[in-house]
Amino acid sequence: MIRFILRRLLAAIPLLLGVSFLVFALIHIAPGSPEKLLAGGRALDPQTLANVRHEFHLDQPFLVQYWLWVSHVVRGDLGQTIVFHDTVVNLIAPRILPTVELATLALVFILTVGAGLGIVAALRRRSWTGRLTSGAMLATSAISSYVSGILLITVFAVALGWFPIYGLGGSGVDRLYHLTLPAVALGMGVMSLIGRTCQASLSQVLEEAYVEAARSRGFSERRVVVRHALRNALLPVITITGVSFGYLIVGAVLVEYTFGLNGLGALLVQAVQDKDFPTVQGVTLLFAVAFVVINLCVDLLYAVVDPRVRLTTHAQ
Amino acid sequence: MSAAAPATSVAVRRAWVPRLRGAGGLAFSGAVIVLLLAMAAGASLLAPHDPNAIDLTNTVAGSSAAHPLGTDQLGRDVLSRLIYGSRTALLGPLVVVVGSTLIAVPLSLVAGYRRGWMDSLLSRLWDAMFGFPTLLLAIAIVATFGPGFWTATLSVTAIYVPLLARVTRGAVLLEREKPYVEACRLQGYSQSRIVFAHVFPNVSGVVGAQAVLNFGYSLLDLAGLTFLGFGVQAPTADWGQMLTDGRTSLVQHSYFEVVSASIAIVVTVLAFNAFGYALAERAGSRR
Repeated sequence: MIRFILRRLLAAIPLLLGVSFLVFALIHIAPGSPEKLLAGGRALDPQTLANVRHEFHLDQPFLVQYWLWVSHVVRGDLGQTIVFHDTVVNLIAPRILPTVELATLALVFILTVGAGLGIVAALRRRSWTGRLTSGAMLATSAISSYVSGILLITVFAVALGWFPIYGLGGSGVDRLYHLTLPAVALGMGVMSLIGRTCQASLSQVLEEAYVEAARSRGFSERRVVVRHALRNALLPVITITGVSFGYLIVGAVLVEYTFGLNGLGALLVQAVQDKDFPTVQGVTLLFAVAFVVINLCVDLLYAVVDPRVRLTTHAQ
Repeated sequence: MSAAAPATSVAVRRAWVPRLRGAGGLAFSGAVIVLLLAMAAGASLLAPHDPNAIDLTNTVAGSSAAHPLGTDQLGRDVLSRLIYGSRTALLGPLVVVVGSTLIAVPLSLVAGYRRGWMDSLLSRLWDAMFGFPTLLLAIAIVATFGPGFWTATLSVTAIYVPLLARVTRGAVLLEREKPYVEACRLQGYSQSRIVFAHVFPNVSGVVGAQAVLNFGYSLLDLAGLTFLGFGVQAPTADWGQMLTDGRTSLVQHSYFEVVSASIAIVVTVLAFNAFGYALAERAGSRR
């Protein structure tokens, strides 16, 4: 097990390097000079230009620049923003929590409602309830987070007035109240993905011989489903949950913009509009690193739940 | 990093799709797609008004005989903007699908058939790109090159290359072990003849189905980028743009613009998804 963890950790390092290199290289493939881009496209006097060149080490060779940038990033220094005269880290830090809260709430929604619908669709697959549930899951899968967000605002915030239209609200219950619609909007697409995975794997498992064996030993249907079938049926759900994090991160950008939530996603959109390149780099890098780390955790979790995973990697 | 792939591959999805029985699903979704194409081509004939005609005396109006879907913040006819919006909505994904196919398919055909260093290099590259949540990469590219229809479209094309490349490579790896490829080799056919004249026709079903699926997904991505202000720019009529515009009319309890653009997006994506799945079924049953 320890060898498996080490192997996966080592595999994540080149990926992180590749991702950070891509983020860094972007400003060098952009049209115009990097100085101009880093200055947000504004005309600069020679003194400021020289400062920018020095601050971003543009007078050094490309790979040296990358190395210097990475070594700063590792020490938690993402540079200065162009627009606000502050450090990128100071700009990013207070916006992490709202995004994490939004994603967590969305995840709770995805796992409870998604898995619930999937289980219902699998257990009642020969009745109208089952067909209706799987039809609903198929339809919601084509609705992207910003479309469902706008429609949720239209119905529940504007027409019915049950929920706020805009903003994060205060803390505690008020925050939860403000984040309910955004979390549902963010979770909807993934929910149907989880639901359909759960449905497919549970339907398959229910046909297995060991489930039949459990039934013929006289166990109640409830016990057969919960103790025998579900345990194995949930394995693919873990994988899809991991895959979904990428979607949740990107979705957060769109959902925060839709609902005017002041999180990392909204910051990224604002930074792109302001041509504030250091902030764009910082947020993109943070999202990408979070994505890699979360996927790593999911892989490890998967190995804990299903011993076959680590056994096969050993055999290779 | 197997878990990093977006879950949109034909092979993964096929198992969960309730079978839209054979030709029926294909014909129905195909008909919807033909209607959409006709709407885009004949927009100037179908639209009752000029989509960009501003009328500040009649803004955010409700439904009327002259404006069945009402007017927007600038008094423009919503129905006409919806009809004209189908043009960018279909053109963008078309460029994405054609572009990503032209890049990904030949590369993966040759790399998958020959294996070796080129194959491992490309696979590593796709892995690195999957290390990014896909749309985030597109946003970073837009940040670099500036917003606009073509930047958005080309950046979305870039993120669909790895997905299509992986699906193609997987199909080629299965084909290259089959007896007919061995027979071609024994006959002394050149590598390019085997790959493009013999292997390609046999993987084209799976690859084509994936390309059609990507059409729907890239439409969502592009409309999302436009919604954020990174794609098609005002005043061009576009469904994503209509969501942005219509959001400001919501507080005035005017729902037509937002709801009609949402429905247009969802129906189009569902039609292309259903068409793609039906094609995948056929490709699967032929194997």
